[in-house]
Amino acid sequence: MALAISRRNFVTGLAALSAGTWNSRALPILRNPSQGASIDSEKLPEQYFETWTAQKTGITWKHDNAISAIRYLPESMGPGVAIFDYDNDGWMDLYFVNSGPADFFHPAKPLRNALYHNNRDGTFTDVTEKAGVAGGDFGIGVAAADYDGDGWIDLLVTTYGRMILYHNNHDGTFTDVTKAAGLDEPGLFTSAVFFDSDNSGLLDLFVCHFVKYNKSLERDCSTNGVRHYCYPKTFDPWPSRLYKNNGNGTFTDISASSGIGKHFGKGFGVVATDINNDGLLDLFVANDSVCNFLYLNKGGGKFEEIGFEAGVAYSADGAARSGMGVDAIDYDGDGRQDLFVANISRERYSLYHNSGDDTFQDVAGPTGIGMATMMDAGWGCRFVDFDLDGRPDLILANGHPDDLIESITSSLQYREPLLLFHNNGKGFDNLSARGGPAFKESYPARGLAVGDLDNDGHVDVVVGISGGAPLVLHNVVRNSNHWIGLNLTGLVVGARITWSANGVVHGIFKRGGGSYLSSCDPRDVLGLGPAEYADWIQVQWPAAIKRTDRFEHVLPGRYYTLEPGGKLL
Amino acid sequence: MILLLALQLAVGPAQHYENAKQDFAQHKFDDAVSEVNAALHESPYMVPALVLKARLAQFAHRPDVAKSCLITAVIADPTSEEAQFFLGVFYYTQNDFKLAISPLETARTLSPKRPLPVFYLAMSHEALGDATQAGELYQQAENLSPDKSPQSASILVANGRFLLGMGRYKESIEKVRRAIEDDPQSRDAHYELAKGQDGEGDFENAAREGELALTLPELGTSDAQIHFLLAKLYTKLKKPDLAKANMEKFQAAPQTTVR
Repeated sequence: MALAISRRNFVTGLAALSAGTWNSRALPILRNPSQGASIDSEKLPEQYFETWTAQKTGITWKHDNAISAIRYLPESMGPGVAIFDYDNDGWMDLYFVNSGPADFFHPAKPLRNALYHNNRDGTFTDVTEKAGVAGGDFGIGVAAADYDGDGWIDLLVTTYGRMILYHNNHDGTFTDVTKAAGLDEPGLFTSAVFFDSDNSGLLDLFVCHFVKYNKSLERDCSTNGVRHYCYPKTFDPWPSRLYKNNGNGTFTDISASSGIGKHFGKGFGVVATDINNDGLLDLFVANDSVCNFLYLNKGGGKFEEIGFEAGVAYSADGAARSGMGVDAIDYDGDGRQDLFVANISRERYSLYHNSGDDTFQDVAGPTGIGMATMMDAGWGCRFVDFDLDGRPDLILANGHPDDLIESITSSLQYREPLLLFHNNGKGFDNLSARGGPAFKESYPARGLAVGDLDNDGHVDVVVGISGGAPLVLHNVVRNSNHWIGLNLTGLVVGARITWSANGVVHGIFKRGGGSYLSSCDPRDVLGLGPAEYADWIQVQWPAAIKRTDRFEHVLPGRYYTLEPGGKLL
Repeated sequence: MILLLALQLAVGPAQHYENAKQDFAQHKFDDAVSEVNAALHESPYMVPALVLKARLAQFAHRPDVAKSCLITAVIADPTSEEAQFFLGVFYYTQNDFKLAISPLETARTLSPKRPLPVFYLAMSHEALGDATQAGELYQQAENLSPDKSPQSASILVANGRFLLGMGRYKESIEKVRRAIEDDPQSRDAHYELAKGQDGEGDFENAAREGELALTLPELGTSDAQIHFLLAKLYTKLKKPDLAKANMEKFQAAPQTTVR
């Protein structure tokens, strides 16, 4: 199955489009999978990443997982990380989430989240105190987005206890506006995503809620008299939340009216994508120990849960899996968004290929991902083109949730290696051995975000480590492939970017959220392969904007900024 | 009392073991435990008795006792294929696949023509994510079981399930069809055939196989699994009433997890 076709074959799909015209409905990307891609991916990189140590980066912050003898559930969940540009200087900054005081945890010394400013030379400066984003609760995850459309990215931090919405003040500081925004609700919140649920042009908010939990509900899951973290099956499920953006800095809880609130799950990961190319953003939620949810957007702020009918709720044998990380991508270039879930050991991870009729087929086995992930427990995950051949590769952060698992079985480890898969156009090759030094180690990894930390067009990775320092992986792939960076501004989740290089067409659908507890660089890097320039680039903006922009003969090797109807700057 | 003791001593450990074996075969587990304990009381390192006690302990959900017996057995006689095999099986059933490999390999070396050690090795390697090894071992186990029997059917079904998981539907269907020839009453085989046919897009025949599987004795594959599959198939066949009925039965059963 090839990824792309020639310009001639694509032209029928573009007949209705021209630069600067608008369409009320998103058109599918038409590509002929029977045509071979012209990009030579045989020459694989010898090494993908080098590790940027704390000594190099200056990132001294460490996560405290608050591990206790009782093994309270939230201790095993974090941390999340975010890659975003808080000061609009064009360089990606980093945000790390930490534990903090809770009913079961009273830290001996103060703990805090951390915001690191990118110094543009591979080093970062801790600006947390000045920025006012230290948190102070038992932090778990983070979502970064410009929820009020003022051009500055804000932060939502999820915690055991509540959410915190930090509004960006445009001067390097943030203000906690949680109460004023109407988001001051209790819960055990995990991943979150900002997306336009009703094509109003405003970013609404979906927040995964894990199980019904407080200290008094903790269970004793002892083995041989020693307490372990409980399998989430022992806790009761709870509904996640959907908040509508009112356009005035406040949100309204529409969980009930949207249909989201009637589904009790144990949400860990969420991604917003468009599974049926109807221009409405759907939601895929990975649940742990209960079935996954696929919320099909019916328009008008209504969602229908179709996980079972779509074939993404259970394993092939009708068993619920331990869904944790999640992503959505068109991995095979057929114009439809496929879904991915990182599960726990012995469950295999799931790669659900979109059949085009609102149903999916788990192709983890035939694509090589299934057996390669048989013994791993996956959290952070992201499809991104690390080698610029135009195809999305896959990186996975793993680690068993039970720190004492090795006392129960010799087959599993608490610390697990990262995994790297190269997309070969037909499936995935496990190239972890070429990942670099970090891939030879094992970690209790959790959140994972990708982004270009040094603006060199090669996508880097930051991994949150439970109870440890974050891992910063610098992409060192240097091949003959070229790239174009695209920084879309304004409402971008739901945009569809297509480009042609040497007559080969590729596409990226800008999904919202994904991975686990984390938030990625909002920019996109378009891999051109060996092509010296992009024949054309086309941006079909989200349905609310009703516009498509197209540019011919775009030169590589730099980032371009684009607003709807604007020029590539 | 003295007479009874004398009688017991006269019976001897070998006879106690034989009695235990018979009781075990007749599912008289309490009697079997008494007999095997008597045998081991008199002969603590009697390997067959240790293995039998281990198997009884597993039935009684006492993995600690089973493990202890099997380790004692392989120490007492490292050349006991039976002890090595059951130690491997013990680790496999405890999801300790890495530990299962060594005793199963030893059992295979000690008894190279026996298919079961190879079969469990195949399943262990599959569980560890080693597709190449697992595939080769399944084929070897299959080759070592030329006669049609429920055992050969089980090997074929496991191989078919493995191939199905790799998306190799045609090969999977071929294996499970042979399994059905070997054991027409195998619910597992009919269920796996239905899944393979589903993968191939042959929904009508898949539903037929699923319905047939439901009528067969439940050993491995549960009713809930089959109802789940049928609900999917009838949805694809646009038979909403049948899909709903099967879905309701699936949902009425306790929800299972892989873990």
